[in-house]
Amino acid sequence: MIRIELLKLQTMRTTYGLLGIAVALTALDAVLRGSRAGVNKRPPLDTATGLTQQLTITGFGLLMAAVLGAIVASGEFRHATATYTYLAVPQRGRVLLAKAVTAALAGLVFGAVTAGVTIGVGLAFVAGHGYPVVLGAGTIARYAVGTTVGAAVLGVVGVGVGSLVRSQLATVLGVLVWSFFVEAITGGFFNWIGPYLPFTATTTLGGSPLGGGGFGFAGDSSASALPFAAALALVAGAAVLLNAVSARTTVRADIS
Amino acid sequence: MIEIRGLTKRFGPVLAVDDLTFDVDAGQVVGFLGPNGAGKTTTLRMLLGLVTPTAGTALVAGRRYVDLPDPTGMVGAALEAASFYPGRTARDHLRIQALAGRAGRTSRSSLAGRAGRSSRSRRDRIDEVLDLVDLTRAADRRVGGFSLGMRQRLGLATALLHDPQVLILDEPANGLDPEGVRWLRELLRDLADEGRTVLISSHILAEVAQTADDVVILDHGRLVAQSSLSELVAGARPVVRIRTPKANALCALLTTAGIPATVVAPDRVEVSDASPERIGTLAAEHRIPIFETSTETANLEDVFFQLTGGAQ
Repeated sequence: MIRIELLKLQTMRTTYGLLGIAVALTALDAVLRGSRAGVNKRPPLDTATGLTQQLTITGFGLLMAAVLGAIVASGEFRHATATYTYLAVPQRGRVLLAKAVTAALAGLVFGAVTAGVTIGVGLAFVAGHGYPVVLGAGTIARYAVGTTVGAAVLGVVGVGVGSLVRSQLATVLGVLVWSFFVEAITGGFFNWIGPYLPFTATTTLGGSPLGGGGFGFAGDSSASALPFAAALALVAGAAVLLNAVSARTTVRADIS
Repeated sequence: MIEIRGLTKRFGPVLAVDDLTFDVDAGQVVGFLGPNGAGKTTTLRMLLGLVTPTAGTALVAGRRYVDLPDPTGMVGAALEAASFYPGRTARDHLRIQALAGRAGRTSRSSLAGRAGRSSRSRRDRIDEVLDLVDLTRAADRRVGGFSLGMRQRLGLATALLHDPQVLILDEPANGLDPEGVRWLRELLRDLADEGRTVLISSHILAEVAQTADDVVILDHGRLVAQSSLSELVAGARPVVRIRTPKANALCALLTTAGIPATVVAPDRVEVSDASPERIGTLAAEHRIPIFETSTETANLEDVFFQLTGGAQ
């Protein structure tokens, strides 16, 4: 089943489009922020704070992984391909599980590529300035692993939302509005709640400062990010819960 | 091969299928007919496990579709509303379906279809069905650029991919040009000659008249007829066509007398279920002149209209 879902992803232009968007926006954001590091009170790249902000510009990759997960599920209804899918494999739970695993695998790729781009661009700026790399290799590797794992989990979250809502447009808009606005506003007004919001918690897995949204901002939250394991458990829990609820509705739903 | 028993589906206040019961024997080609909105597609979707019945059962080979050990090896379906990812090529769509059919099997002993075996067999079978539906030259084109007729052909190729014993086709002639309709008729005849069971839905009786052994006719979700085509025509009421200058008066008179009559033109009335003698006697008693009467045996379309209230 996973092979089939992977083949579907491989034969969808959307997959490559979203990966392209993630790479392009991450690279653009990283170049813009790298070129302005140390300017206008921004911390320079030879400080731990400055380099951390620069190497954790992962928000676009995480978002695109969630959007891809949403499309993996809702696309079946948008293009009315669910009929063929469930005719071939009537056990709908198996299909949903395969979609979740596939979205997670795609998320791993999105996360790894995004981490590679932001770290690559950041270290290029460090080398260009002739600065020493003030973060250890272990820390940088942890950021990369956190982003990769986080994107995988967000892919699964996307599948849950897509299966539940079914409307592709509503699902994709919902993911974007939630990540860009709902969490930013909620976390901005109520700092203490920020670490517990799923997208924010995922950005902190990759080392982004709270309130920065994974877009290279310093963040101005007074709260502390959850420990890695707690943040991962939170996002994974949300993914499991969403998929469990959507599986209950999808298994019973009429496919017409 | 197909058993429908007391099948009912209610969508909120709408009763789409109402206590439907019929059988389709193995090796039969059955036309599943009814006007648009009669409940044909809902019935087929319940048979295929896509829609949950409110009551009743729909079985293929004695099992619910979801319980079949090899669903696509047993049943190939081309449904009207099913579609394709527009950016995918026809060949890629079939590659996915070939793998999916294999994944849907719950029994290793039923690896009958070549589409589920090695990747080479799958490729060969995909080429075969593409050739069968005359899509070989369009195989590597994106489906988004296909005409409706080409999509219908790809739907048929999908249905045939796993070489199923039973075919369920929902309005397969929609979007086909006259040449395509003739091609479809010949294809269905060939499939029937191979001993497959075919249930083909349509709202146009003529589409299935040359292929079907039996017809099942549905109207407003209820079964209104199941018989062979010849029995259907034999049991039909003859139509009496009358030319009169007082068409409205004659129609009113006959209706009052309990004889179904319709004004079809300012000087013409059509009457079913009554002899010309009775009509003539009634008209004479009420001084309504009749210039001409003719009695015609009902054709298939007339029967269809009689059974479904003339709605198409």
